Amino acid sequence: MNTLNKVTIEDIKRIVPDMEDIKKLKKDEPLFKIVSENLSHVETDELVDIEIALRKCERTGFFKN
Amino acid sequence: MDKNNGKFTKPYDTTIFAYTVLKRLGCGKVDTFEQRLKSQKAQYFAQLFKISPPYIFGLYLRGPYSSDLAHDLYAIRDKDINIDISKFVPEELEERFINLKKFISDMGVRELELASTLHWLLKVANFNENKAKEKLQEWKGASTKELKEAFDLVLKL
Repeated sequence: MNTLNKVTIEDIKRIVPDMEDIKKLKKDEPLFKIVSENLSHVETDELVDIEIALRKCERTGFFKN
Repeated sequence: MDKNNGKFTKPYDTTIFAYTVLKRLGCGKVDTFEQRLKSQKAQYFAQLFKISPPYIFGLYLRGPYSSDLAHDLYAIRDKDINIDISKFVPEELEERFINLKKFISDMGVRELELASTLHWLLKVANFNENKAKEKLQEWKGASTKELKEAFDLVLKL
């Protein structure tokens, strides 16, 4: 059974999130996504957390109370 | 299709702060491909400099890419939010930002793509240098000069 007819634009979006990339893809150009379990690039930082908390307090008017 | 109904993938203030960092870097827009690429790569480096809350990046066609970041940037664009671009309170955080800004200020789209891809290959995918070079040449058509520049940049991190 030919399943290609069932491929929708949403299926493509899951593989190529940026629709502009689809327009630039050449035929047979490899499309890949490498996902690593290494999350060293997603470590949080205390100073960043502090800054976010301060800004949230400012936004919510916490300091005015 | 917006599966989150316009909501952010992170808590509101966390997302807005990440966007604030991008705005201070002159990025954050998503209207053109170049803007989207710059925003993605700027965020990638902002995380490395420990300036910004982290998004998970995978390696896509044009280098490290975070679909959650893309989602949030589009959601922010649609919401028309006022951003506070004043300096950061902790001095060390502001210094990190200044260093980040210096690091990426002279980088064009090509340099951002190559440097971020190289960093991801070396540090996230744990490729050795030779394999990372080989992939940059194969996937990006990187010249010898471009490879050297990318390595010089990544070694500064």
